[in-house]
Amino acid sequence: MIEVKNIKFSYGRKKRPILNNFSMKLEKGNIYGLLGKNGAGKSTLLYLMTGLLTPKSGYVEYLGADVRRRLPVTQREIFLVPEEFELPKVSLISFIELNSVFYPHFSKEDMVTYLHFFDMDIDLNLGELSMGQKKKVFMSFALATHTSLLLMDEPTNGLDIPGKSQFRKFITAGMDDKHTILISTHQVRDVDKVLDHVIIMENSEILLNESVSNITDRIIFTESNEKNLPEDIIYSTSSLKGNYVVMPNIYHEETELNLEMLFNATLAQPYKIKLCFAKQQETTSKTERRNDNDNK
Amino acid sequence: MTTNNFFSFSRFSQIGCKLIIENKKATIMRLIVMFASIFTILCWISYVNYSNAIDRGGFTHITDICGEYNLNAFIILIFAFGIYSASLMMEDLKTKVGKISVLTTPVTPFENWFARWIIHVIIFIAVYIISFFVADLIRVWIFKIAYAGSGLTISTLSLDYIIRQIDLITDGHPSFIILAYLTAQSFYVLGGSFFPRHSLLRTTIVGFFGLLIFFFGDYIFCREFINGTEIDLGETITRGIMLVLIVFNWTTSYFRFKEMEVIDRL
Repeated sequence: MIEVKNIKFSYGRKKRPILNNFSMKLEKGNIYGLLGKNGAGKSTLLYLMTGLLTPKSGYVEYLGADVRRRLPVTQREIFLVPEEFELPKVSLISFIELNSVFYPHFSKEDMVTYLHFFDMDIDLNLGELSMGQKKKVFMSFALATHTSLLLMDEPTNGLDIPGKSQFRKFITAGMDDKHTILISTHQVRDVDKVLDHVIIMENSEILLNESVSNITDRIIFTESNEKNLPEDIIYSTSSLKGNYVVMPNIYHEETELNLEMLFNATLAQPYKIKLCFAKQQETTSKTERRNDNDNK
Repeated sequence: MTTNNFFSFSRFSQIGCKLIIENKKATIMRLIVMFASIFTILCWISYVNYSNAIDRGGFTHITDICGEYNLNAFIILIFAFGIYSASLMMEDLKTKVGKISVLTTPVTPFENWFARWIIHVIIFIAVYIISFFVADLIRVWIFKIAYAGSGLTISTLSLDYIIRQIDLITDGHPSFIILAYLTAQSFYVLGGSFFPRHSLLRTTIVGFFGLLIFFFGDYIFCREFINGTEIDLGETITRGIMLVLIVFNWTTSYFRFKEMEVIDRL
């Protein structure tokens, strides 16, 4: 899939690098959530992944080519939905006719289906739409292109309240094993139900890169009204009932991912979080070794 | 779809259609403004000249007395609108969102640049010539009615007349004026790729100083080294420089477009 290899990037020669020796790999069939504080370099990373920026060193490889070359063979398989965008003042049908030709897997039927998720129809004039409606149309077009990689920067910004829940259904409907979606967002509550992989980055470093199932397997998110919190707690913050707590999931209890808590915990206690997964990796490799020995 | 990574005619035609249709409202507005400007100027020239001629009386001209003025208007306006058209070549790259839209379209940088070049350089010339002749035709109809029975010769500017007059003006070197036009226009094509925002103004400022250096260099070269004895050679060199500049400006504009990023590094 797409691989970011040792990227170094800064917005000016004398400016601090936003990304320094940054590497990352995305696999097919996942919906990734890219989280990070303001200025962490999330949007920059998306621009680098679409060839819109030139790294000082390193490169992004997709389908065997450097994406910075902006070759049609890679560009027709990557679609970026930026936080802000412009749509021409033409009818939606005309927009589809003019733009779908560049994407070989585009499906007009799917576009209509995706628009219906947002209670919209294909018979629209793009010049008469609000920003939120434009976003719904553009995201529907993006998903209907069926590019193998879809990058979305703050997709739920500007969406109305029903739009946010519609977005979750819409994303799930457009997903299959052949595609990868990367959602960069601060609106964690809008996307936490659709993600199956979480990446948290800060200071050019990936603090967490784990599947949701792994996270909920290793970490428990709960609310506690006890005054004395357990010693092995990773992170806590006060709530109405007492405290929201992030703890290692020692007894493999069923828990629901709380993306906001996970994000705060990862930024506050990156070492403890890493340790949770390091233990898992250790266990996994031990199991693998044991299986190998048994086989022998 | 072909996977050719430099030029595919189908992708080129698709991006061309996209550029024309998505900007059709602005393009039509600009066309109307251009046509109205040409028409107003031609009518004004005709009105002034025919009024003066009638006041003086005794017409001896077998051709339209406005012919020469109209020809001058044709040349001046093609320079003005040609430069304006070239400065709009990278117009949609003036904002970050525009850049994202342009640079993520799955066509090669060459196809994208070449489609813009065709529209703003080649198609523009065709549209300008058609607009000018239509405006001239309407002028002739109007003034034939307005000055019916006055004995004035009122006729449209013919292509044959334009070629003969340009040949006369340029002393048998009509290519000089064509090269001058293309040089000026190519400079604005290049300017657009460096300054997508306020391209016309910024390129004009840079061009003013560039022109000073060009004329100074040309003067020194032609007068000092050739010593003023070989005027034809001097003109040949000037034409050569212009030809090199045209190719240089277009090529640099393409490479600048190819290397463009979502942020301005200038």
